[in-house]
Amino acid sequence: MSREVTNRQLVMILVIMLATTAPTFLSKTMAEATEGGFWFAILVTGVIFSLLALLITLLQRKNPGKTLFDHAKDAFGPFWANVIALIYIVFFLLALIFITTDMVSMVSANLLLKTPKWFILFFTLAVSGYGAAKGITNIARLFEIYGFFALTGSVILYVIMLFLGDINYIRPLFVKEDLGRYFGAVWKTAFAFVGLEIITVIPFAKQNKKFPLVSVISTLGIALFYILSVGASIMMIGMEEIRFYKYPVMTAIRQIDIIQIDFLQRFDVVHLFVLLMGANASFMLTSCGGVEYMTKAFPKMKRIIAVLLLTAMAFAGGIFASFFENFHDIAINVLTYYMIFTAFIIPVLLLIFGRRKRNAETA
Amino acid sequence: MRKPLKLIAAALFFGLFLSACWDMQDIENQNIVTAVIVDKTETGYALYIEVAAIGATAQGQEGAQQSPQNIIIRGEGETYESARKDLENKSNKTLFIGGVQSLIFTEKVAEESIAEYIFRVRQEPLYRKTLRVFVLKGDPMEVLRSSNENNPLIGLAVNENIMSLYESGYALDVNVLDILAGLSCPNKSLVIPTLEMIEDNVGTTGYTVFDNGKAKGFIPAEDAVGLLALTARKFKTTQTLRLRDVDFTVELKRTKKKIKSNREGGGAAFKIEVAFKAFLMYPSRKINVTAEIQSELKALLEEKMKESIIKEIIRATKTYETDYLDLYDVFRIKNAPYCREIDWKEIFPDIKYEASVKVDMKMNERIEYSQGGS
Repeated sequence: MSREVTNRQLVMILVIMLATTAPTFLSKTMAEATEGGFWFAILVTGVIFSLLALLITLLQRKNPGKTLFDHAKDAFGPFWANVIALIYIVFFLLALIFITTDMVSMVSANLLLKTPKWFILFFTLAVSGYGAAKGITNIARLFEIYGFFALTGSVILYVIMLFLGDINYIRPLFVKEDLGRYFGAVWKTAFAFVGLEIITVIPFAKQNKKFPLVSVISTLGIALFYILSVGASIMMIGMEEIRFYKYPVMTAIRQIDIIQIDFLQRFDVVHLFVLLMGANASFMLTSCGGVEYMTKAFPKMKRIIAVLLLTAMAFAGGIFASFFENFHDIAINVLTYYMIFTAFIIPVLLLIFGRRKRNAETA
Repeated sequence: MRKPLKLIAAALFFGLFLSACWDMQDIENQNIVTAVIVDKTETGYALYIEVAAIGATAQGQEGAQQSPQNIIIRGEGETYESARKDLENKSNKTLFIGGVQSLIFTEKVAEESIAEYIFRVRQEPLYRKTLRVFVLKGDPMEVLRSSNENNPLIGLAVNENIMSLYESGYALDVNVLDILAGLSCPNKSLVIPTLEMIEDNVGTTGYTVFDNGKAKGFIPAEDAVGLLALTARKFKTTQTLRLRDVDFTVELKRTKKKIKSNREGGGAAFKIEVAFKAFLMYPSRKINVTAEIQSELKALLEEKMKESIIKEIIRATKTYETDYLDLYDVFRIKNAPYCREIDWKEIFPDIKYEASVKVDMKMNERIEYSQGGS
């Protein structure tokens, strides 16, 4: 089965993987860390991650049709390739636990107040597992439509929020004296780009020459989307007040009253639908990332077994995480450090050693 | 099993869960609350709620079959929580607060502090943060039992009242989130529309000034022109000016509001520029409205509006010593690092200001007043 994707599918995969869950809490983080200079910190982080995306896709381009695991096998042999696969499996598992428990907490705190969290988690993971079982290409096809609705719906909502909100809440947009603070916030913003590693399981198709460029532009586009989302949320709630909300975007969109559209005054309901739709898609992709590495590292394991195993571990991890009150902060820190390996060190090592090996073979 | 059958079976199975799982509640089993009035008693607090009695009809009203009647429930307790429990005990169905349109604080609560109740609203996910907030002068029961021409539900009626005034530019609209934003920034304060019984109807009679959640004073609606000109998103007013023994009624719309700030010594200075477009509506008697009269009217209006604006600044800085005019925001935007070092509350009463008002006088486009004779 081919696991290659088109450029449009790649854009949608990145958008869904990154831009669906992070906006729910990013505005709070940015308000605390940077105040009005949030756009600067997000943009700098976006540039850094677009370079990392370029790095990974360049690596993929060197060996068309192969995934990062295949490069690792060629460069370091099967043992180290399996070690690397394990690193990514743990990464995707942790990411899945984090984003599902976080979204479950948000839904539980704002929408389904009485429904037990374990049940929402179970239901969510069952859907994501089903998606993962279908493989990245099938998911990518689905996301061409799905991602379009999730992205367009969110952008329309955030633009409406810009009109309804108060611009003074985000001003001044840049304070020279706070430049150090803005750069310091890059570390906190980095978490919003967790999941970029999904590119590592997408093999490069020979005819798809713009693959690296598309991934760079998509990552920068996502940064702009974050700026829009954070700015709109702060403009709706206020720079100081937003710090009191764990999921400020939910509070912000619930303020939307469009009295001009009589039949659709409560537009927020539409956004909740779009938000949850995007979040579920993101869970599917994260599961898929983990499952792809599991089937590579353990070739004898059937895909369905890998899906069940990952989903069961994520469920157990989610239940375990619910015992920690500050799991959100712990997970953000752990995953951000982890990303140094998964999005930077491993791809760089593969790029260097892969080239050396090729040079040696040519000689 | 074939694929389509599997899909149908899956859809039916998942359909079982689409009723919101544990959270499912039949609307028939809920009391939809449309207004909450918070009052202070000798021993604690009283909460009055207005419930839309769906299905019940207003007695003796023609065509009232479609209008829900209002039912009033009063709960009392030493704390807000116990007052709420009392309400639940007295209600035969679960209270649904997602439909609350108006949150009203009595003067007694406003004088003590509205902060605690507002924080209560913040943590409650069912409460919409856009619900409008009012201060009430008078007896809550009198307001809840009052009648309204279009809506028997007072929560909806006062909300519609303020919204129509706000949309026309005649009033300020304050919601829970505005108050929360004010409470979380100690340098900001705000005004809240104040309701009162006017004969048999409840209406907005002015604005209560709040500082840190506590009422500090009251600005009557007829004296709030400067306040609205400086703070309302939309502003419109009608003014009657006496000139050459004739009363001229003029409508003004704000077209520009620009406030610049500067650091001056250890304090702050503001330059306020406001521009209006004025339309002559009608004179009190027949008169030829010449260019000279128009010019005199323009000068009079500029003077009057400037006076109102300065009066409001003096009221904020000297009388109430609290910044409900949002001048802090203007100053902060330009002097962000400096603002972290200063105590705005100390600086605010001594701010320097300069106001300039421009009026663009227009004649009524449909009437030719220059033909009015002498």
